[in-house]
Amino acid sequence: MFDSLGKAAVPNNIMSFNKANKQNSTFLSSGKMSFDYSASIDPSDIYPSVAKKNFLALKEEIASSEKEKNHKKEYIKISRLIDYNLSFPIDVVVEPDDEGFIARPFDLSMLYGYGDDEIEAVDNLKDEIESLYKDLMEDDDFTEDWLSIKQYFKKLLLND
Amino acid sequence: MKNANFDTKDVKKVCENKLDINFRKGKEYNGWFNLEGKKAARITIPKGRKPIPRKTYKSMAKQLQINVDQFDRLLECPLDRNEYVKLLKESKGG
Repeated sequence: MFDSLGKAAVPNNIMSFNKANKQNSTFLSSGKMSFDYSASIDPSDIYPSVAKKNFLALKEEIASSEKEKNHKKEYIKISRLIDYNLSFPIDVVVEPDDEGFIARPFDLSMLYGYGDDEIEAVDNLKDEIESLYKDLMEDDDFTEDWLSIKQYFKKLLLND
Repeated sequence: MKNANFDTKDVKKVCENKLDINFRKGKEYNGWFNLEGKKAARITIPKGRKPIPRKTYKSMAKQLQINVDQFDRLLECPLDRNEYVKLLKESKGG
């Protein structure tokens, strides 16, 4: 979609043109003018400042969606944290999140780990699980929901 | 979703000022929201992300047990009551 200079190839169905396109125009036998829209154009030639910003934002968006296509969701099981073992493995989904990756466990939806790559995201999630466990073990000043989660964590995490 | 309008520092500041959340320093910032003396919600804020990635933004809203629109609204009004009173006093005091 973009050449090495960052110029966009304009799809045939987009009814816009620049000076270069004008030169490529020809008259059909019907007397109507025909334009060759296939030439590459720089959007800044058409609408200089605002369009350039939009163009760059679009380019970023496309790059991000390309990344999402290339890095689909991955499902993994974690059976060990950093300082703790788990009494049973937990299922985690790791997926692209704009510039980086996010790892989220299915059963612990209140937790996530974000990182520049999949490994960092999972490591941060492990750190996050341990951090929550330590918080929960500090005292019992929690709402009922959190006290239930505390019971779950007591079963889930095992000291080395 | 207005994740592109904020960075993680904005979220931390709003949580501190409006929700009285105290963050513990670590790999990431973690803090609890207290409701009637009980810890009711726990938010994790990654350090130095601008703009906040979309799924991370959603996850933070989920941690506070609100939806993304409500989270947008929480972040869009960084002026809290105390700051407003301070500004009002300053403008009257000259």
